[in-house]
Amino acid sequence: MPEPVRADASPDERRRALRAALERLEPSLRVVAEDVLALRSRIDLVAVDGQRRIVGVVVAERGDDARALTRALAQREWLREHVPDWLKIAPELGADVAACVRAVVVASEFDPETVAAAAALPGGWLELLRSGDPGGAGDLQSHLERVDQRGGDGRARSAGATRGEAGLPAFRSGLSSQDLGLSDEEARHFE
Amino acid sequence: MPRDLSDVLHYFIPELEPEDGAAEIHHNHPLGAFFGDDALALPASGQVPVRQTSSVLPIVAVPIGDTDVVRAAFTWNLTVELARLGARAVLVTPGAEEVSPLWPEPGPGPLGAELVTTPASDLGALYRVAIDTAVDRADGAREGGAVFVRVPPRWLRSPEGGAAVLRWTLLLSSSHANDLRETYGIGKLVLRALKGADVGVTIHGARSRLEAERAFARLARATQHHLEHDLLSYGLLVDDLHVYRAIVAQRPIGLAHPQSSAARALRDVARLLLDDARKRALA
Repeated sequence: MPEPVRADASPDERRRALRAALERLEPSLRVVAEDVLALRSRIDLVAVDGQRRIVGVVVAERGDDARALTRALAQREWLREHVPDWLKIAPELGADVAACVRAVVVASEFDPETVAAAAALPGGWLELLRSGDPGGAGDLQSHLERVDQRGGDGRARSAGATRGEAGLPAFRSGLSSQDLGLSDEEARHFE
Repeated sequence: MPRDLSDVLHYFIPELEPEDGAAEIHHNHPLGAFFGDDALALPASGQVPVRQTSSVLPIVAVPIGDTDVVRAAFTWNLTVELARLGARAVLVTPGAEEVSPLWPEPGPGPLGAELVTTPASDLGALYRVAIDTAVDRADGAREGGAVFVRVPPRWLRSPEGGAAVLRWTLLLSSSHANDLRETYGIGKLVLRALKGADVGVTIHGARSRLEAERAFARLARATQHHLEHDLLSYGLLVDDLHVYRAIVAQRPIGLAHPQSSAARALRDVARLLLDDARKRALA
């Protein structure tokens, strides 16, 4: 079980905890940049996923999830425009310039309207992740789970949701990390 | 102990041997130098008589996702290369949907390579089709051969009744970390479904032999450490421009660009597979 994040943790500490939680949720995810200045605000984390897509992660303050969704979409567009240039400079990022960009919004709670808005977007554009530790501390980022974006009730499903539910196959085989069932120790061989 | 990628060294050096070398009556087994001929149960001379028919062709399971064009293209190209070596080469794939734009219509294709589609919807049904095909096509296959079977990776999670199809499994992986992680995970599913399965790996997409060796070594180490199983190396394939041109042109690489490094690497991997297929057929 991961260590919970202290309430007085610095932004850097919170980002580190978020990074670790994301990599636990989706082991194929590789964080390549933190705190990136985009259009007018910052992207908390930029990563490359198992399908070589760029992923922009935005953390929402409590009650700010709707605005964070708008911001994530804007930053998704910004990433889409800038990734080809990044890859010219740093091809070792390993991202596929032709693949779509994923946006991820992390929040402790999501308003049903935010979930409904996310559900209306094309598949693979944006994913909602609810943060919080199992003890219920709410705004901590040591534990993440995917939000079911089909139902619109805003209630989170288990992180073990199947690929179809989460809509995000991690690998070329069409299998997700959960399907492969790798332990952290096994996954570390390939970091 | 995994086999070494030096088996495909001649991808990096000029080709000197005639194309039809693999169809000779006797053939030195490339594993002999590595494991010793005793370990391979070869005749004392280290020679494998190949002009001998078997009642069933060996089956090679290849896990390939429904939209994985690159792995599908490599597998069909390996089938064609096996046929070019004079062997009987068949690819069985479940599902009516088009998996790869490179694959031809079902039936005999280039150089006699054959594509068989089946409506099988689980591993057990796929295994029965594979066995029927392996028995049927073995008739008159004097140079040996193999039946490649595309296994949808999601079926590996419920292998009931069909795990035997995984007895000899080939995994195709690029050298990227995510692909290696996926390949290890699929190997784990295969070994969970069939303990003791022979799992081989062909690396593609590496920029150098060293990179491919390192990629294979990472997979082999993890598999040995966590699953206590030795992987077999089936060399490396080259992702050069010709591969993608051939996919777009829907022509096998060995026919569209026969002198390309991609075609030569395919030929090497096909030879390794055919050597093992012959050994299995004799066994």
